[in-house]
Amino acid sequence: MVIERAAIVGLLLLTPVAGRAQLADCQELGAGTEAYKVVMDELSFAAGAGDGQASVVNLKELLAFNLTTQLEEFRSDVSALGVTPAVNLGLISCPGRRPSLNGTEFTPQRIETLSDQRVVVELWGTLLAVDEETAEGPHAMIGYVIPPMLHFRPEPAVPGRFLIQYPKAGGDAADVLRKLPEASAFALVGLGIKARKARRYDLAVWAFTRSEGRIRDAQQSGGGAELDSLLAYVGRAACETRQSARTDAQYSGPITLTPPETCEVSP
Amino acid sequence: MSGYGTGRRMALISLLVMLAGAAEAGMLSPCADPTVLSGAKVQVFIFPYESERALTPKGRALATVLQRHVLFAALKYRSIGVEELTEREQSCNFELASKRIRTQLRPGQTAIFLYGRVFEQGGNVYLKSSVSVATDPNQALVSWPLSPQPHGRTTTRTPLAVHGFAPRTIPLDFLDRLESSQQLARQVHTQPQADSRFEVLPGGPNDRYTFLVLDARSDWMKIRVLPEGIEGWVPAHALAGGQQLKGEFPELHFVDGLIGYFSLASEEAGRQQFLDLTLASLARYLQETESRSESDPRALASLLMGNARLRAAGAEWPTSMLQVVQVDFGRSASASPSWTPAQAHLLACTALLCTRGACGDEARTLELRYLDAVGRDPTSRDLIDGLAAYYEAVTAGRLSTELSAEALASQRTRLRNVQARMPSQ
Repeated sequence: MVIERAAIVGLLLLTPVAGRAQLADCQELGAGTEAYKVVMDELSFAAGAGDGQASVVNLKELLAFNLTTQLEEFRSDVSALGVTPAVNLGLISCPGRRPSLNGTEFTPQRIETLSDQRVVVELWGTLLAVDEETAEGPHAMIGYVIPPMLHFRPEPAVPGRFLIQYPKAGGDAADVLRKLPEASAFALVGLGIKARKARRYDLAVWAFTRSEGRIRDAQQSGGGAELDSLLAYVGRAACETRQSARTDAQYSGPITLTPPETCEVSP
Repeated sequence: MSGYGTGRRMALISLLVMLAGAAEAGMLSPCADPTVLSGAKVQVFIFPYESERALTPKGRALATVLQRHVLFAALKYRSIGVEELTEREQSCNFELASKRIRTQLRPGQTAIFLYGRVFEQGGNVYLKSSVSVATDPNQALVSWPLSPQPHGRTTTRTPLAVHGFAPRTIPLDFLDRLESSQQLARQVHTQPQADSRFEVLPGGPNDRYTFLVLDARSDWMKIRVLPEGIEGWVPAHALAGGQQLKGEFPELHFVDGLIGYFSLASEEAGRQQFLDLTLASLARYLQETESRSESDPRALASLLMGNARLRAAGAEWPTSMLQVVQVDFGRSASASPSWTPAQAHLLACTALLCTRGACGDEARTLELRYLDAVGRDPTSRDLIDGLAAYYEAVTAGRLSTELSAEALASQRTRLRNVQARMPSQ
């Protein structure tokens, strides 16, 4: 379930994070490598959520296991690419870095810095306890920001930040293991945008195309209007990237073999 | 279960089972120094799954039992080795161990690696598996002769690594459900008959054995168990079907299909039988993962089904068979539309059918489909080479194009320049 913006404010008032939300520096981000990066922040407990509630602690462990394996899978996908120069992708874990539920710390300046540091997606989580009033079981809100999307604003109508509940609506705790394609979907979108800016057209088109499959997987397990608009965006982005490649005199790669095309206009 | 044949020579079949744990016995295969069997055409190496914290004995036993199903499923193939690698002073590093194994493989040998991560919580074990294959590069290639011209042949590559299996949630009490079939598998009989006398091998989570398969008769395998020195018959079907797993560990069938796939060789007797076993295992995997979010492995399974038919057919590919293969590849492409290997295989197969006049209306749209595929993945060497072979076939009059002669010449020049700049894979 993708939470709409109005609901995010409500959640923020009701569920303060246990330790103060803060965006601690993560040393590896500033290491100056040429690698693209996926940043995984701490999965933190909302106030009272972690105190003696084994179910919430268990959920945290399950989520960490799944997110880690999802992102490793994404890295394997990228490393198998036959492009020159090869694509380096780092998975960076930042314990102690705890953004607030809706990620208000990601200001435009911070977003620009992250994009410059080649971060393609940053994600964090807030774990919430059983709600006695609604009988809703323990769940987590996973936040994602796609710094290149937010910084370059290729399509202002398409969000670059998402807040997604796990388990998804109608699922149980075990479902967190089955339905988490968003992590790699958003990472691929961020990679595509960065690659396009760097005029690595082949890599960008591949990333946008691959993200389509992941976004569709995410839609199957409970998407919303934001995922729909993201899906439409990546289709247009791939088309526009091909157009840019065809008109770039310095590009002579495979895209030059393909016929001109008319890209859909964004709504 | 039929199909095990009779009188298999000891030299053809060698099975090693060494379980993760502290004790040592027989022919150990530690991660630090893995053993590669010289006589086994296909070997499966089962790595201890990585875990951030220690598993309980029950959790460890469950992980071991699941993997042991792979062993027993493999008994139906010839020239197979299965090794469960052991950890000693330090945890098993997949990258290092697999690298060592790869350097020891002889030409014609294939190693299949099953590894992953495990996590135990409450009453469940959570597994995330990966599979990769080390083999001669040409084992992963399919060659498509679109025209007799020097560059009229294109090849497509079968990916040799699978990382996209969905995580599995397996309740610990599953172990109890599997216990009866585990007991059957540990009974070593004096005769290949269920009512003959038998000895029971120890069955603790740290017990380990080395099996050498000496003979096969119907559903029974004659084995020698080391270091105990026991010799006798075990019912090979005890764990082979995987029925007890109830779809909880579909990787079993995928790995089983891979074993069959790489065991197929055009000159080998029993080819049809191996093909049937391979297709059945891959189909079983697809059936058990129908509602799971693992599109790439499912696409690969369908692709392997098509390629298995080609391997079994040898040098001659009847058109009717190619049309069946095309259906497999179409299913692969539908399973994962953004997965390039499926597109590359489907296009190559369709192109070959079109050169035979056996692709119906698809001949008119094939060129555009190739260009569309390149447009969606410009990083793929297979697609670029496929397009080049397509244009060679056009020149030979076997396929058609919308391009004028001048445009075609220009396109082919651009294509050659692109190929020259792309890294070869």
